[in-house]
Amino acid sequence: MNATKIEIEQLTKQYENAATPVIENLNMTIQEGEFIVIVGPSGCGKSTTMRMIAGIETITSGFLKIDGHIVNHLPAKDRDIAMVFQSYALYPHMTVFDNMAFGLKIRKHKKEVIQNKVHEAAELLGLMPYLKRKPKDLSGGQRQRVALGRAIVRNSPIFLMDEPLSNLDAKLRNQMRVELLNLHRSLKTTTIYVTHDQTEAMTMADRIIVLKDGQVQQIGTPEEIYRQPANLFVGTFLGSPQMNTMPITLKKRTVYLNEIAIAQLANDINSGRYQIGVRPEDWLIVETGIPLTITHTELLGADLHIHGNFEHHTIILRCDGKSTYTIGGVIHIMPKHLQLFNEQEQNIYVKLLGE
Amino acid sequence: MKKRLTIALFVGIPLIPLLTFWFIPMIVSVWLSSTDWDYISPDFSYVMLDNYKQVLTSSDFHQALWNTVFFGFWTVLPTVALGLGLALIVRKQMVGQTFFKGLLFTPWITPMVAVSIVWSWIYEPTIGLFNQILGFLHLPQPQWLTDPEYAMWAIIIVTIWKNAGWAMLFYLDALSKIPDELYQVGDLEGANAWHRLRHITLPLISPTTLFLVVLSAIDSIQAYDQIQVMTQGGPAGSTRTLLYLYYQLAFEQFNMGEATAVATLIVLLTALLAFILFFVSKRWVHY
Repeated sequence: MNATKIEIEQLTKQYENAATPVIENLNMTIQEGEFIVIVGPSGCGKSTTMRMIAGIETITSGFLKIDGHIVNHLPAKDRDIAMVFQSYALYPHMTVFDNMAFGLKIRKHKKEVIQNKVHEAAELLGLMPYLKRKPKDLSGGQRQRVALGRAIVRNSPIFLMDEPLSNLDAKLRNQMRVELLNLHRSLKTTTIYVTHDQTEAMTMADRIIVLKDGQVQQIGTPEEIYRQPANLFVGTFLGSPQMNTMPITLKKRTVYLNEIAIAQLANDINSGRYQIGVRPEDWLIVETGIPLTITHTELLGADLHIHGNFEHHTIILRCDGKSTYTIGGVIHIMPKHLQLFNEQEQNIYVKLLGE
Repeated sequence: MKKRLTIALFVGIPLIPLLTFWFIPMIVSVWLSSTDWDYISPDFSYVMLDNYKQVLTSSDFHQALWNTVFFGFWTVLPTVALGLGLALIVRKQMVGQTFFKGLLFTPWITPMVAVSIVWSWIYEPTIGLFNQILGFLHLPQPQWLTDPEYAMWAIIIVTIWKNAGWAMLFYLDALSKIPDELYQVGDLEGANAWHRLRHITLPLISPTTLFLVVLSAIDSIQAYDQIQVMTQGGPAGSTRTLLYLYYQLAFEQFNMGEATAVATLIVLLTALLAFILFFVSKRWVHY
């Protein structure tokens, strides 16, 4: 299967009656065969972006290029893109076979070709026993597979998936996540996947695009997004439990939290007021540091989450599930790694002394 | 005990009008069809199936049966098709959409008798609006209500005009229930306008189509007002449907036996039609 490159330049979408654009000056290049996850809170414009790529939403300004050709005005049917909808959008009056064969039938492929392709996809997705059923007689996971199958039989070089797993229960979602990845590995299609689920974003993506209010916050590999968030929003949006943020004062490379020196920076940064972000797993339990009064603990099996208060700050840290702490007790903690955000909430990418 | 009484009350009271005005007349009607009662005399004799023999062999009945089928076919299909067409047009976002919807629906809430009177003026051969327009377009100007060739078409046009807006209203509702995403998938899969109509819209509104076909078909069998006002079954019986034949036999010729025999045959015809429709519908109606 041939995969395709997608380039997006200064893409903007504004509805006629809206004061602000849904998407503003979006730029990104999606490489051939890449699995891109667009993630962001609801209303950030992620679905709109996908629908513009698919051709079911018009582009206000900017360019959309597929394989180097501008396709802004190419109708959806000529873009050769397959899309999986959140609602699956299966035709209720057609059988599983007919749903999957629909695109091929109206493109007037030969009967044997259609039969072969549908059977091939059905085999891959374990749908062979259900080909004669109607969507209403299928479970959620099976419907999901039919929607996928419909995309697969078309042999499109580009797959778009709009929150395809959000209607499934947690167990099935985990299973389908793996199946989707395996499918991508075998088909090698360029895939754009929209979700608000950070687990899906972190585990599935080659690269993640974080969107907020129609603006790209950061584009990067899951690791980059997690370890080096470009700004406070990205830092707090991805990761569970959330990154701990708190205002601090910086004096001569020393980070002070309410008069307690908690860290020494390796970089030379102007003194002043900043915000820091510390991942729950980046806390060390030490002899002297931030005295944290434990308010609550959650054992998740391998991990233990400790919730605590220091003055008016609430801090969550993650430690080994085998350790035990009593509620009301006090532990001392220090960050071993942190993000420093300036007044514009941008990351200044610092390192701690000795890190 | 008290519960039984409640049930009896709730079922029994609605049954009273049903029995009085439907079941009993129906039974009496079937019974009358085996007599030669003349509607006035106190006495009558039983003729058993003679009325049916007489009716089924009469040319008037054959003509009326053909007229009914003809009228039914040419009102039901255009009404449903036009209703869908109007719904597809009106559904598009445009200025005055609500106004158009209202305008198209008004014929249906206007009494058929009033509508028929106005249309009989429109059909007036020399000064009527219809022929004025046809003359302006240099088209033939037929004697709409007095020419046996055209009288039935005149009745059919009025009936379609009256019912199309009603069908449109049902289709508008059915169309609004089709999710946009089904069309978007169609676009991505390469469907053109015809594919969308044929493979998405029509199958998904098929329950509404069945409903409209059944109701319009029954409505066409019961057509009376427009015939009574515009042609009284004429000229030369060309607009005489089965129901109108029943009316003429019963209340113009006072031949109650034959009239009720026709009525019974109408009931059987309706039942047969309903049976065929529901049987055939399994093939093309998707719930």
